[in-house]
Amino acid sequence: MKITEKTVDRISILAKLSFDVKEKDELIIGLKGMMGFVTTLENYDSVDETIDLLPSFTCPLADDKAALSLKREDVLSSAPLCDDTCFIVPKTVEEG
Amino acid sequence: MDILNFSAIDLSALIDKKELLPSEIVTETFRGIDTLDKKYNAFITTLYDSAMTEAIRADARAISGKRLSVFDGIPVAVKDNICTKGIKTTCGSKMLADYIPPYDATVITHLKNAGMIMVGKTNMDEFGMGSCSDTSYFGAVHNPFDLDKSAGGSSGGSAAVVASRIVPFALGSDTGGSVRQPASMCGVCGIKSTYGAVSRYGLVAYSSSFDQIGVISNNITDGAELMNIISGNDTLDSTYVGLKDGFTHSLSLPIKDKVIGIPKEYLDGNIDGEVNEAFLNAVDTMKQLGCRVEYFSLDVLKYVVPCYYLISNAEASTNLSRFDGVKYGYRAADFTDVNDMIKKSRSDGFGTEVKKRIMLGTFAITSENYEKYYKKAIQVRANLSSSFDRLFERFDAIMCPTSPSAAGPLGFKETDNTRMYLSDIYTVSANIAGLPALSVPCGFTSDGLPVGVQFMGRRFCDAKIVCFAAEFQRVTDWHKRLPKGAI
Repeated sequence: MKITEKTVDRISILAKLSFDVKEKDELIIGLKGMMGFVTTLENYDSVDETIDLLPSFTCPLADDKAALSLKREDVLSSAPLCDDTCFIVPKTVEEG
Repeated sequence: MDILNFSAIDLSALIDKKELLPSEIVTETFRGIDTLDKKYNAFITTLYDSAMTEAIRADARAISGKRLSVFDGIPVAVKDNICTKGIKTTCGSKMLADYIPPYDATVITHLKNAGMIMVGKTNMDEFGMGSCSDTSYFGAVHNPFDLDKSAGGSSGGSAAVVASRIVPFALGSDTGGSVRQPASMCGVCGIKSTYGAVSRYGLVAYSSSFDQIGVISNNITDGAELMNIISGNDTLDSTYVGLKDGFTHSLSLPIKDKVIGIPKEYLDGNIDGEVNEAFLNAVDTMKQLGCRVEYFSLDVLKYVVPCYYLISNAEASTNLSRFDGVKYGYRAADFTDVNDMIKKSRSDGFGTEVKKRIMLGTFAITSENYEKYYKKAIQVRANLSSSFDRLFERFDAIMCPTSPSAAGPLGFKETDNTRMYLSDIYTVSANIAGLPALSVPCGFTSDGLPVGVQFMGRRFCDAKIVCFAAEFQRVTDWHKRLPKGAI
């Protein structure tokens, strides 16, 4: 898989990131380096279909009981912008 | 007496005998921080006022003979990606530079319940993404053994404060070796438990199926005792299963005639000559202690680094999607609409390495790459896991170097960080397979830089490798060597 400017542009939309020209050039070099050894996975052919791909231990289940959660004002205290009850964000729904 | 050179267990004994008060220890700890941390840049936040308040409470408990645990009144430092209620938790990132969590991580609750005194939050690679502790928004951590060298990473701050004896131990987190590798670089011990043995609740997630909170300590016994405390019960992390018998129950068991396996693949051309020599000397020590040593080969090991980076970055790309400038963290000042706000907040708030890893992770889980890379990585993971299960039918422990080289120079920037990624080659296997693993000092290079040796064990048999390491430290003194200028 070749890493090109087009690849970076497309992935950056999915990752919700933007890069200037210099950053993009450095990123392409960095990603090519990473892909250089990540692509060795393509050579891996010892696939054993009998092996369970999921971890082998069982996670315990919590009791089905209501428990105290965080207070709303505590949660809102870390928000970049909020009022007494809500996070404040720019308008997210366009008018029809 | 120079109390900062004492082990935590010895300090505790002095408190029990009423020869020392927690407030005296904490006073010395902050003398150490004031003297040394300007050289190391190991702390992001120090907590003098709250630590002294807690120390005075611990004094009262000590005087009345009502200590809460073996480490009541003992200072501890905490990596800055572990949430602490009312105390900044930055993850070494501009994104969370002012973030104050409204809750404690479970491990912090355990420390508090044990009466331990948190003295500060330690510097780290941004979101744990790095092996040199130089991707932090707050600057690089300097290695106490050579200030021009990296402290390793990502828990470099925790390793540096322990190496310099400012604290006897510190919490770190280990996603691909981030406790063991910096411990090795700084001449101290690092323990990563079996996946699930310690609650991850409140650990800011990098790669949830690999992340484990661990301990960095001056000697393995202190570290294992602290692991007993932080691995206590939790109902908030669905992957927590605990460790029934704890980390110290095998300490006095003999290791004579135990069988240690060594992977041949780890001793090939990638390893530095002096590291190899120190490792082979450590192997000889284990033989002198009566262990049998056998070499083995495991073909899948050549895929572990790509497997690790593929899966960890894929998980990081989803985990870090929560940072959108809405609920917490950095929000860009100027934007046109909500999408622009999210994009600009993330682009300004994350550093270069984090953005690179998010990009690779996002790339790996696109529909056209999923089968080719991600699914292959999952298959490698499953194969490695079952291979280790079979190996532990033959071996009581697996032994290898912790890192292929000693600490590297700081300020060495390269756009292609392949070399940095390969420095994790010996540590990532334990994370991929969920195995317990630890690193203890086993020598020094001719430049005076520490070298570590790693022991890995069967899942949920953490105490067994603690036993091997404790025996190793009983007959060696590498862990007692101090960096120049330490307290």
